[in-house]
Amino acid sequence: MASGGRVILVCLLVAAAFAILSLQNAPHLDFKTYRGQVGLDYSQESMPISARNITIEVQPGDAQRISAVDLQVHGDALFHVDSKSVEPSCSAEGALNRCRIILFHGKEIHNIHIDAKDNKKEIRLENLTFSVLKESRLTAASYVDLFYMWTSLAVLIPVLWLAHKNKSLSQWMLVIFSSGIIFYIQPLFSIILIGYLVTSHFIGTRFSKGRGKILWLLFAGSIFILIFFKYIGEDIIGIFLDPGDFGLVLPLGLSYFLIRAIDTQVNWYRGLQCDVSIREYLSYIMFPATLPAGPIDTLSNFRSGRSEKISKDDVLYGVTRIIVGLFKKIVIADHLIFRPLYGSDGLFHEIASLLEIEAGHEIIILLVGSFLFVYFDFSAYSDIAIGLGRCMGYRVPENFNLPIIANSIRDYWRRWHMSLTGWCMRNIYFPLLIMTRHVAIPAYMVMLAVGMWHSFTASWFLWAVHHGTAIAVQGKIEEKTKGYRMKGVHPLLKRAVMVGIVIVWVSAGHAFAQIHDPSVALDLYLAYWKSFFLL
Amino acid sequence: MNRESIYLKVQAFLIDEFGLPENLSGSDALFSSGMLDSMDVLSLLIFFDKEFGVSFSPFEVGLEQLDTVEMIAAEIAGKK
Repeated sequence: MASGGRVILVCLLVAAAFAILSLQNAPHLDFKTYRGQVGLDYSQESMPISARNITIEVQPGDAQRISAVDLQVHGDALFHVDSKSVEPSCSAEGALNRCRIILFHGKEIHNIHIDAKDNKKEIRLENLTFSVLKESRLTAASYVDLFYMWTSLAVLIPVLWLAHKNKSLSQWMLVIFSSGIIFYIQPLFSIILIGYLVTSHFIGTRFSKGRGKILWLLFAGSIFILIFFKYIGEDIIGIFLDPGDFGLVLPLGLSYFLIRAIDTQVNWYRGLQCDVSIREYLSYIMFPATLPAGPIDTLSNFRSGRSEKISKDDVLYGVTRIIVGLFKKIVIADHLIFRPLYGSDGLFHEIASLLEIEAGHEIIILLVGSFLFVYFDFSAYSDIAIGLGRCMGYRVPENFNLPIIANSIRDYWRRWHMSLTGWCMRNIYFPLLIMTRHVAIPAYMVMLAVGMWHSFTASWFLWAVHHGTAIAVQGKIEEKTKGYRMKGVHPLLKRAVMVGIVIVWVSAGHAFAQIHDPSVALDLYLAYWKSFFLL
Repeated sequence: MNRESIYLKVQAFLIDEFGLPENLSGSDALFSSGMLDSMDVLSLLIFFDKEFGVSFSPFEVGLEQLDTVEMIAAEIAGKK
């Protein structure tokens, strides 16, 4: 144990060091793209530039990373970004100069001014449109989250080892640790959340068995908190919840808390797990290893997954998983995939800053790359969580089972983010199947729930339609072709073709997953499919 | 109908409908092992209804309570 302890401490400190080094340039996945016309009257197709200066106001919160302007200039013009002049890249098209400016911003707000050069009156701007790309949310967990978690856990884990034999003491320590972190980052949220959890435990374990009204009351509480904090309250309370200016406007791990709470409430309604103590319940909901990014454990698994003793093998296994996770996150996801695709001069900015997204192999590379990035990034968090959990004496469930080799869309969803799809199957799909006796409706609803769980936007709705349709169609095809076996095709070839089809389909959905503006996402989606015909 | 005869009928249905092994035991995990997937549940629910006249309300049971032939037989026997 002593040598295992030293190894894990070194690994956690190395991980924390990586996190610190990456803070200045932490990659983010989820971009919002806006396109529009600001500062100009929509009805005005062109205007003399010398009549007045034109200012494109970049709103607070917009353009935190990059903004792009695409405009057509008759004649010559000068561009200013606040006090800085910018050389646009222009290409002459007859009398027209088609110009594109890409501006990289920090957190400060920039306005873009366009003046006439030499004050020539004949200079006009036409079709002034612009797009703003903004990074709006972090990937599954930010480096800041992980930095806090890992450095804190480096201190907590040795203490937990000492206290592990005393189940009650060690679980209270988990609760106090997690509550402390949440309170430090988001005090208001932590008070409301813990109050809600304690109340729901009191009601749920005593009164909810078989009583629909109480179950719905508890559901309503969970859903209200989720909607208020995650969607409505984001802007309202965000300013109070960011004491360290770390950009943490969303309550840490909110979705994960409530999804576990709902799962437990359904169990209580069925009369299961009613003997769980408040200590065990809170430590399950706020288990530090799975706090920022899952996996979503079940209460029964959490209770049975606690080992009486943390063995040397547990520690070695845990450390190995953490190292695998760090390798996937830092080397594969961030450096090999993210930077070429999403870095400041990456493919994403090149494509998304165009006003017209045109089909081409770059689109295929972007979306397939996006799928691979999310897989390596997210599964890395799961590896780290599973590893940390094991070091703390708990068996955290697996979350990914090589979804990149899935041979059908249903098979894909059995392998991808398994703990979330399992939750949806238990709490949405199965009850709806009982109610409707229809496969397609629950399948769509599950995908809708997964989509809305990520973000309450039209793009994620389209993502849900994309995946729900595939699942429903596959169900129908399997129903019609039951017992049919394709002859004369080598199984390996068949498998390879099916794996390819699944990757192509799932990657298409990433058009909606990474761009919030539904019209831009749809452009990208259609361009992706067109691109295959151009190959 | 007693629990034993429910057990035998469910076992025969699973072998026949989903091509599960003939030696399927009462404790073999059906869903958690991946032997059946959630899409197969619909056929199972229709079978419960037709064969035993048993149907469940939406949140009454979960897949984890129908994970083996023995568990299914117990749930159905409890409803009859």
